[in-house]
Amino acid sequence: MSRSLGLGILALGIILYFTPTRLFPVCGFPLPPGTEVGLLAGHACYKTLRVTQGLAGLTFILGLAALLWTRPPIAWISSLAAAGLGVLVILTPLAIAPVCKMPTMPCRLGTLPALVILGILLLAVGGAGTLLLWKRHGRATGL
Amino acid sequence: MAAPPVFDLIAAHLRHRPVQSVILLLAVAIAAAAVFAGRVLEQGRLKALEQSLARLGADLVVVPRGLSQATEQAILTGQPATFTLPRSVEAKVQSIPGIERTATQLFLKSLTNAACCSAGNLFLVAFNPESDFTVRPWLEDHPDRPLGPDEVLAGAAMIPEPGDTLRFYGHTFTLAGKLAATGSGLDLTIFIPREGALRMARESAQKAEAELKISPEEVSAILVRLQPEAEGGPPAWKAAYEIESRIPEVSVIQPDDLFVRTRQNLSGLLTLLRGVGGSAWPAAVLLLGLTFALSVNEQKREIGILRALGGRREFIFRLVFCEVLALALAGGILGLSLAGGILLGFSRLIAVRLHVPWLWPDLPALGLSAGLAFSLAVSAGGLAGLLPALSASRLEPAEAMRRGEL
Repeated sequence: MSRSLGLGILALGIILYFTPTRLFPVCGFPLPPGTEVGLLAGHACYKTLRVTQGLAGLTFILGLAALLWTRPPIAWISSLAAAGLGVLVILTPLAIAPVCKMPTMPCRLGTLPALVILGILLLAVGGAGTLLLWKRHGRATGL
Repeated sequence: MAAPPVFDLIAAHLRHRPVQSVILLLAVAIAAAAVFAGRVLEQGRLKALEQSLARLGADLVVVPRGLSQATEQAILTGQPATFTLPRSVEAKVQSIPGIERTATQLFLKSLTNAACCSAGNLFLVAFNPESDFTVRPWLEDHPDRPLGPDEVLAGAAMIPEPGDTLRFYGHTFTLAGKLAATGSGLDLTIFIPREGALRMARESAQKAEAELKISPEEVSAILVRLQPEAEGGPPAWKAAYEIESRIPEVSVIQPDDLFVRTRQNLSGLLTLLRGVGGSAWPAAVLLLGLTFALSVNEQKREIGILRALGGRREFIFRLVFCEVLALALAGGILGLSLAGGILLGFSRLIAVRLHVPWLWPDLPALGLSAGLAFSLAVSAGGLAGLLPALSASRLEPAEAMRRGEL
């Protein structure tokens, strides 16, 4: 249970990392050869990319923790934290680091909905894991 | 002996074969999702197309010869198109019998990466407030608010709100209002009164990073409204033919014709969804039917035991039939949720990538599409489950147990 949960969170972390650069890129990505990333810093969505990648890193670490330490408290804490990260991922393009305002910009058309959907998935996986682990082990261990 | 609850047995059976259950669930979900998404995308495209052409308000659009495609793209996607015709062509068009009224528009585009423009590469349309059909509905809705030369109207998808200022070629305009959504390029267009556009062009040499050169004697398109056919007016195709043969330097776009052509010209994704929707349903029926027929065959011993323990034929029928139906129901719900989620998030991206105008269909149409997709999923289960359920219910206990051991 904990291993499959860890794998799920880990996979979502990897997908999340590549979403704003490869899968549903923010404005200016993928970078043409020889372009400096700094040139894109003027776009509002560049901040979205940075925050998302930070959250993706944390998600990856949580997934790894749930995969390596299968003891109930760690897996439970990992899945609870993943659910929290899911909320942050949803809020990133909407409020924390909003994407560009123009409705035709690639970040608004693609990155924003993709991050919201990934955030919902992370919230669902983390939430389900938290509930199931609590049901299975929580009562016994007093969590 | 009391019969065990059907749903407990079904749940246990599905859990016992997770891979098979998931594959069948996905098969039904894909069929339902393809039918739903295909219909919603198609309905949204037609709604946007209808709204865009209604917004144009013209029976014919006259443009320079050979530029009808560029104009159609500008109307449908908002991709700026700039070209001109001598204004004198309007008088020639007006002289053709059956023409009720005309209006001219001049197409411009804002400068890209220039501090003198609020946004780059925007489609700007200079219009004549007295005669224009496109923004007429807004003007009619606001009779107490005549549009000043430095006031502009914006398409529904533009970010600025009424009262905000916008700069084009160094000239500052005030946004007077926003037009209703059409889902097309018109939503990304700024409509500037002709007088204001000419003033902007005159000042651009001093104020802008590049001068805008337009002449008061130039227009880009002439919108034509015909006399109604009931009052002796010509059909649109005949008037278009008449204009093109009398004025060789122009091409004529017939909005009705554009509607029919765009409707017929299905883009790749819509064709694919139609194909998947059309073939996935029979495939799902076949897959479910075959899988459950095999499953009944494999479980003859269990069925025999159930019958020997007092399970009636109806109970066995219900058991098999409800299992297929439960999978189909769950698959339908999953497919609709997936397709709905993807459309909710990515509908605009899909429309932009397909270069088609798009608006969410009305709620009844949306409900009908969801209902149709769900009914197809459930009927796939019903059809597929019928034969295996019948064959399972007809087994005699002793025979079933004997065959099951072979």
